[in-house]
Amino acid sequence: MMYKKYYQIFIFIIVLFCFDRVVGGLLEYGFYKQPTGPNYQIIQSITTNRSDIVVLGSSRAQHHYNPEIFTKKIGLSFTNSGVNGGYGIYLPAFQIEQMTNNYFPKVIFVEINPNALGYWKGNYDRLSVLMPFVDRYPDVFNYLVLKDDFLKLKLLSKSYRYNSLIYNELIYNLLSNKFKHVKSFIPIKKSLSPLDSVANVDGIKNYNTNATDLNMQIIFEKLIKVIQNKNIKLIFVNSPIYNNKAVNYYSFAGKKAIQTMNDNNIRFWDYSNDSTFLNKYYLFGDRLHLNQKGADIFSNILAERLVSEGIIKNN
Amino acid sequence: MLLISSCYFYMFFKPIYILILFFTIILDYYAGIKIEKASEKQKKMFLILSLIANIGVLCIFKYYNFIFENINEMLTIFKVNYDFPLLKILLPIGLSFHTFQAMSYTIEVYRGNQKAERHFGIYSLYVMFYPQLVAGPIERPQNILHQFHERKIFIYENVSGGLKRMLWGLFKKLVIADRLGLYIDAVYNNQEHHNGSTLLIAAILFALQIYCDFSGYCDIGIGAAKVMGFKLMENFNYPFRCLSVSEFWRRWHMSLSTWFNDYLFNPIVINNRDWGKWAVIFGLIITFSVSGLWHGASWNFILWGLTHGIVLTYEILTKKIRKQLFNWLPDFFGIILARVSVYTFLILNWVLFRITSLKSGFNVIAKIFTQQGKIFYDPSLLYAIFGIGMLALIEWNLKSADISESKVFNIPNVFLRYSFLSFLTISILAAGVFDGGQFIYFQF
Repeated sequence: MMYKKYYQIFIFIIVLFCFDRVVGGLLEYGFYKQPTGPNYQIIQSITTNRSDIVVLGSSRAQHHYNPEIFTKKIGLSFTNSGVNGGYGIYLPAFQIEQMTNNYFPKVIFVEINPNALGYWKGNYDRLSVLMPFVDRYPDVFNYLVLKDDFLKLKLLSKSYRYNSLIYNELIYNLLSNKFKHVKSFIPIKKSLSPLDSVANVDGIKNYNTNATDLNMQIIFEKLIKVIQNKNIKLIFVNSPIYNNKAVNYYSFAGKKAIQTMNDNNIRFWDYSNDSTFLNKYYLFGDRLHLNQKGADIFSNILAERLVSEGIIKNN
Repeated sequence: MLLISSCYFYMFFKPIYILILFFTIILDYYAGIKIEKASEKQKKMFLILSLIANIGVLCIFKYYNFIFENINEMLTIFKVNYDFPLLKILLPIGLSFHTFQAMSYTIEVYRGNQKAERHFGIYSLYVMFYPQLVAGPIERPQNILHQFHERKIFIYENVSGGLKRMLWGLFKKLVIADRLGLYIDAVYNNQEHHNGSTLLIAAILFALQIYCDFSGYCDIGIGAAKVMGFKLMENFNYPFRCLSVSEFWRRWHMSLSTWFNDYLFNPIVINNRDWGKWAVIFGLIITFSVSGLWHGASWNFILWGLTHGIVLTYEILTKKIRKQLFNWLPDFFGIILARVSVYTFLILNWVLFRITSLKSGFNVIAKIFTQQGKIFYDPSLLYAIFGIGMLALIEWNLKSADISESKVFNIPNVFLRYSFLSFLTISILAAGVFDGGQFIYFQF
């Protein structure tokens, strides 16, 4: 009698395993086939992208760097690989690690607010953005292990790697023509109104900026070393914000991040206090993001600075 | 072994609070023995001492700040320049649940329905049994204590049934409740920026969220206990099938409703039986106001409970008229009318459960009736809609409160049955929220 029960358990495990592999396989196929969308931007940055200049980071990267302006101004190819969502330094670090296995860009911009190196639990939750890559890029497990002690167990399931991605896969695969962006740059069309601008919106209020996140600091230093060893010009940029009182300017964690950049002779271009943008509501879509007009001005400024500082020659 | 696991489980949240739990356990353990041995007069004294100690712990940790915040406000109104200091302490997890369970033991011993438990370990387990420690069901000693004395053996049907029930609980929690939670949190945390239509959708969805969250927890807890061979009481019996608010309370959080019925409502009604119908009404208002306070130390919870008491009073007073009306109406129309009115009340009243202050609750309800507009949409809703569809398909026509005994979980064809269970498992893995919050009822 018990033998029959064990046999049934065995059959159930087989059925479950098959279901998981089939569903996981379909989700994997749909994931890598996406022709646009945030996951496409990550995939493209670590697979096919060969641009001279690349920008990585969060929504502020995605909305602030207009590739057409860079290409027109300095004659080099440019890809915006910023991903909406604010994944701390983990996602750019993973992208750089994999991208530089394929080729060496001339310049990599990493959009960063140094305060974001403070501890915030959300950064760990959001590491799940890297889960789908665990099969093809096993190194990603070094980041994922920070998220969850039981992740190794959960990743036994292939479907779990694509958790919460079914909607994105359907939308971006089936309705891709509705999401056309120029080299992944997504301009914000609207403008902040003078009234909106006084609203209390603070994009990084959740960070414990009094203490550096040790894991983040280690990854940050590792990222700098990877770039230095490959002789790529790395520039960290803190792009404009509407009003710099929105952040705890600069906290212990922020100062520590800037110190690390200085110690390693890495450029940090800080525009968060730049008078061209400060309190100019018509250049912003919201308090943390430039609109298209602001992004175009900002992209021009960066392109000119690349040339004027001799980082690249004007073609 | 079970006791050690339960201690470990409780200490996982805040280890030091286990001392509070053991304080009440030791006290009630001895109170039970003393009550059994004592004379009639002394019995009552021991019971009162035990109740004061239990309610005292509850008051210090849950109600102290609420009471003194209100006293401080009163003093300000009367221009008295004194502020009582407030405590900066975290509420021990599940305090209201295990305190009520402990109180039910001493009351039952006092009433002579239960023998005092002599084995300290078993009594501790009665309070601390981990599948139901933090959010119930609030057990009665008659149902569970004897089970801890029984020798448990491996029974395949129990293990398989328990695991199926846990699976369904996980589905309700991770795929429905936590998905809906993403949308509802986004709306309620910025309620001033949302119109009435969105707030209405969030209010409707909150009813589903709280059901799936709490009944999901109970399914997991009852299922886990079943795996080990224990039978816990049912806490839900498909509450959204109710046709009246009184029926809702016979189907929703049944272990709490029956607790209040046995230990508060019935004694009030019996002690005031000379008042006739008014004793019942008085009992309802008091019981449901206390039930509101049990849920949370704030005015919105008290009002939430009080309004339930008022609506139940209305149902008692209009019982005959409503019966005549429903006899006159066609059956299906009567059912629709009853459901719409009950759901409308429940949904709007749950707004008081979700918000953090009375003022914001009234704002939300006012907006629902006045500000219509475009509904805020979030992609996570699609996953939840899939989950709700599954919930409706599976729970719609069930008879037994234990879903693991239902036909759908026991399809005779092995391949179909395992395919269904695999589908549920994969749905959880692919569409569940794994970074979500705690169970809503953990805060009580």
